[in-house]
Amino acid sequence: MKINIEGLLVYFPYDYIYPEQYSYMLELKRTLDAKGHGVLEMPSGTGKTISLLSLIIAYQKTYPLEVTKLIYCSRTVPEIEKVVEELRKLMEFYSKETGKSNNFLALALSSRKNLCIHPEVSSLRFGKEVDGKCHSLTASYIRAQRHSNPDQPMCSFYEEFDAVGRQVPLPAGIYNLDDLKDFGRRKGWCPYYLARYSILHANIVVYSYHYLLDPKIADLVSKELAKSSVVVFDEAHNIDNVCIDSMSVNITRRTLDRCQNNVDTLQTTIQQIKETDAAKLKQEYRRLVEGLKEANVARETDVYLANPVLPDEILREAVPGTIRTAEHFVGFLRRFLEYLKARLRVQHVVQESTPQFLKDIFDKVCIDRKPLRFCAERLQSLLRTLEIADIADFSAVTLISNFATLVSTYSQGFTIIIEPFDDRTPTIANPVLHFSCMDPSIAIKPVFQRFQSVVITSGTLSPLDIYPRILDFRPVTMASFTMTLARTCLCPLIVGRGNDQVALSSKFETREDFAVIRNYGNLLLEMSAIVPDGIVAFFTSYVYMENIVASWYEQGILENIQRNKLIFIETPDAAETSMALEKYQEACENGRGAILLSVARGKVSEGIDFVHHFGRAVIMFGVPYVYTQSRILKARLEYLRDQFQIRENDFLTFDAMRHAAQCVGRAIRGKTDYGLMVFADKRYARADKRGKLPRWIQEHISDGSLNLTVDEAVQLSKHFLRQMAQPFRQEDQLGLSLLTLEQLESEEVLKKISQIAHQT
Amino acid sequence: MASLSEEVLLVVKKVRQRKQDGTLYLMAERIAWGPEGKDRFTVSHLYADIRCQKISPDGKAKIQLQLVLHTGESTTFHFSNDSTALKDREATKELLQQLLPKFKKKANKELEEKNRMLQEDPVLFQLYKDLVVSQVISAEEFWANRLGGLNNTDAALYNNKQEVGISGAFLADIRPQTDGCNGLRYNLTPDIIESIFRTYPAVKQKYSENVPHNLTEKEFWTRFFQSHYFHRDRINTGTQDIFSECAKEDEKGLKSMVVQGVKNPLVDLLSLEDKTLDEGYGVSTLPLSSSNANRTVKENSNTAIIKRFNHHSAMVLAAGSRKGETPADQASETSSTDGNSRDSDFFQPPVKKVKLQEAIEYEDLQRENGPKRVALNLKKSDRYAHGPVPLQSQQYTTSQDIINSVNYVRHEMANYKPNLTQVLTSTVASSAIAALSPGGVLMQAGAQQQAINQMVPTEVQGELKHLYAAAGELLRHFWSCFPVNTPFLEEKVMKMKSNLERFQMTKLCPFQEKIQRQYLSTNLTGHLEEMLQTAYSKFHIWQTRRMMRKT
Repeated sequence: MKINIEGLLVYFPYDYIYPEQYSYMLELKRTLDAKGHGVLEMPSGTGKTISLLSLIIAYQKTYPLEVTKLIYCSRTVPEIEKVVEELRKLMEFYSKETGKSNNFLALALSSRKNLCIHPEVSSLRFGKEVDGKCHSLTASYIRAQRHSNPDQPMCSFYEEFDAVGRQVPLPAGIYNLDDLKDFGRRKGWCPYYLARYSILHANIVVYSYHYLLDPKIADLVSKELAKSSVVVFDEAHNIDNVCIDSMSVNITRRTLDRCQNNVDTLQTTIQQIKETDAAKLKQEYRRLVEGLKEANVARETDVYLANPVLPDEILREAVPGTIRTAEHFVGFLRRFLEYLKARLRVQHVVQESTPQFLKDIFDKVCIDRKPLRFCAERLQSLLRTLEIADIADFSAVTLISNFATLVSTYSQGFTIIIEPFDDRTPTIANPVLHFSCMDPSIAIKPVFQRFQSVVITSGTLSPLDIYPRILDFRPVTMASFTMTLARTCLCPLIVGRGNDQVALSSKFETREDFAVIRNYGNLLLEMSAIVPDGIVAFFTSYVYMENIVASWYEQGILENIQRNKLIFIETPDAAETSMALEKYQEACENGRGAILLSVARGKVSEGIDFVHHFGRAVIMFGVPYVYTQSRILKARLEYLRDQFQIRENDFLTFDAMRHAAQCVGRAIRGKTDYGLMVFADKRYARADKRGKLPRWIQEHISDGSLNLTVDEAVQLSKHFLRQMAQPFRQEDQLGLSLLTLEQLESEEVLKKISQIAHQT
Repeated sequence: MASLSEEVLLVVKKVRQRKQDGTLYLMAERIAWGPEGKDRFTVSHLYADIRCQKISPDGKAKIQLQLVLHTGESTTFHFSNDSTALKDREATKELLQQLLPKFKKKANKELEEKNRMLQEDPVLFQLYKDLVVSQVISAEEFWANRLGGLNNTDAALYNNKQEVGISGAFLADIRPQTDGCNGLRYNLTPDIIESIFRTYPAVKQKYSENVPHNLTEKEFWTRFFQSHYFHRDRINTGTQDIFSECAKEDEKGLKSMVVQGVKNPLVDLLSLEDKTLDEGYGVSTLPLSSSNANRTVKENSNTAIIKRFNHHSAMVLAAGSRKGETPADQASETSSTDGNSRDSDFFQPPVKKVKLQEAIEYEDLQRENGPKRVALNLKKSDRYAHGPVPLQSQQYTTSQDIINSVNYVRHEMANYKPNLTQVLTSTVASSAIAALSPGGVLMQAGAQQQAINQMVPTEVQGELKHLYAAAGELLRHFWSCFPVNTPFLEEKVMKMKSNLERFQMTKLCPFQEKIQRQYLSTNLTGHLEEMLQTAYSKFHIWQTRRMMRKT
């Protein structure tokens, strides 16, 4: 259908539309019109992606000069591929309706592991290995060496791409990862480099967060993307953690040992080169004297994404003389390394700010702030000069130098914590230096500054106002949309008591309580008897799950559950869990029914959907608070309180509730889907917790279902499941939660729709 | 009589059979016995015909060996050579023990097939009992035209019988019970054993290795329940435990399953993340003291439990779907294991494409164009949702209502005027009533049918049913002989006639008498007799014609 959104003609590739999709597009259009940023929450399964794509592409087609590019960031590889497939559908619709062939170039970019077609390299299992191997075949000096030594192994795909691939741009079309690989095979070009090159002139780029948020990668991949792009972060409920992760560094004794080896290797390599090819080092020196002017020129023209690790002011200066020669730099590194080793030899926990750290390092080993800031750049230059093939081997020294640059660059938003041992094993010395970022806005700031519109969206972003605060930006639109339903297809229940009236809670004091564990087991057992097909249960942490499973086993509860359904359990090992997941789905598929025991914040809770019969009920055992005893978390909470006036408890609850919402939201993937959401903890009934659930879940929690016993919950569930099993047809939805074009054009309906968007 | 080509494996002299001395010969394909001084065998059995051999207990004075045949007959040999009787018997037994299994496989397939058919089809079994066991017709005759169909299409159909899955909780069903003196009793049923074997092939292997050579069955299971293997929370440490290997096998199986990876790319957690953080970056990238040394015993056992549960569920699932799917699975699995991404590319896209398309599908946004389905039409969906509720008078009538309605009826009656122009004359009306009342002309047919259902006790009905089935079978044989144009058919028709007569004598007549004894007046067997009479008259006509032709 073709829809008119405030004067913009939007092609929508379906015959019907959900009301919330319409209002979502409306808000999105306002965001783009204002050239500002937006925060939009819409339940998963209501066609968020297709609404986003339809509107932004229509916008792009109508105002080609205003919006030149769509950068769509998603979290997982399957998500990325799904987005591209939806895009393909939309583009097919466009060409069918307009009769013109599509002139858009859209492509997905992923790591080498997913794109490599080199027979040997692609057979490697881990991403890091693939990267390293690729590097050893395609690095510039390796290729230069080949001129003198033709026996050097090479990657024919890269050579072919390098020779001809850049001359002709990738023809317009939609390229998913597999399409890129096919194309690469046909042409004999390397799909990875082709994709990286093509994102510069593509209309739509779909890739993962890291390519934009992680400064180390963003610098390589995304720095030349045009300013007039629209950036979308989908599934963005965890974006602050991604930001923080990309800026934090942990240093252990092992890292330092490996770093020591790296430095030694550097030293010997420098010696060798000095004997054979001293000119090379001299040339490098000259280059460094000239400074980083080149980088500076590029930045002034404002075409590059700012690298937070390399702030502007550095670029105006030359690399300081103390570390300009290779030997001096290696000596400098050694000193720095010795200092870190000394710091790790502590007996008690140390926490300090970055200025304190810098002062200490200056006092103890006379290392100035300035050379530290250039550490990362200097190392890169040296590694290039020394023609080190396997960068992966030098990850330790790269890590240390990145740390040096970061610690000397930011005086705020970071903290340094040195722990001599793990809290759980106080007898074993295992010193770690945590350099942790506490301010997610640092990593994301360049993105907000650089691009005209950034849209943050997810199914669970409640409470909406917290994201602009912790990411430090000012959105022009903030909206939460509910799911219009012709039948109430979700049934949130808060189970607060066992049948014996014992209060159910995963809070620390009652965690080991057998009565609670038994009642939890009872809840699962009863549910397993009445819920068809699949049940997913989430625990607050892995250790907690292990303990509960063990005592359920001892009490014979698991055996009884096995009479109803098969049991699969998430393990820390991803491969094992994948297998369990597949078997779980198989068991749901063949009618036997299964239960998956899983962990909130785990991989399953973040990346796997349980559509339809794969998840008819989700049970959330306890409130998934983060482990609050960690010092890093405490530091972060303090920082949030001081900088953003967010109280500790508010943030902790917000964090717990967004994970809980993520977990239970896994089961509802659309309006034809249905599922129970059981919150098994009495604390969910409190207003401060409940109020932080997404609106589309909150709406369906009735006052009567705030503090149920297990039996009551079972009764309500039975009733709900029987109702849901009735046939549900399109006609039932029409006009209520599904609109035709005619309905969309009527004044009355539009008024109703406008109430759906919940402005905050 | 023994053909020269036959290889004689063993000759035992002085073996008595039916009180007659003779010699026992074990040949390549059969066992034979000939009386002393004669050069022909009076007993000869193909190994394939032998079901089993039995020997007399050691303490007995007579040292004997009995062969039981598939047909149920048996032959007993008595080893009578005083000095070497026992040795002879042992030699014979050993040799037979080696030979018989070889022929077992070849063993009368037909016989098994017949057996199975009888077990699966109760009607057929009844028929078999009625006709063959009571020797109305011989077994060959009975099977003559049944096995034909069996050999082609049916066999495949029968073999594809749906496999019964395994209960996920079969181990839980073995409830240990205390026997009162610090012991535990476990109850095992063949079903559970079957389940254990199907779920844990390693245990089955152990069983076939150890039982009965090393352990008795009981000992084996005792050990099983004592083993760490059965108790999933215990860490396996002992090496003398025969099941420690099983645990290792399981571990291996689990690993291989893990290594094979998953076919559905959407659940593959390994390839979920696009770009993982490098080592050393991130807030909480510290491995949670995963080295085993740091873990307590309890934690270890917890991990073991979780692993075992995953494994158990996977095995139960696999046991249910193992049959039939394996060939196809094997193919895709092998291709997925060898080349990691290159080879897998060739088969991956279809699965991946399909899964992706499924994932982005919004069925309700599209116009429905699938085949129209028939919706379940519920009159009262409430009743469906809540199950049957005790019937309650839903519509209460107040006393006022009742009084009103009574008044109304009275009023109606008072004003009632018959419409006399449109009624029947009294004679026609009374004859119609007579015809419609019980025993009347129009009611007869219905009445009689009812009678059979109601008047005859169920066991008589059942018997009658069997008689009909048996008679039908015999008559089918009889009529299938016509037109009689071969000597074989001639013979058969004669036989069938006598069979029919025998049937009438042995089955039908006693039944008739029984009915009479029970004073059931209705002529239940009339139709059966009629059918038989028709057959007899046909036979007579045919016979007289034949006589005429002959003369």
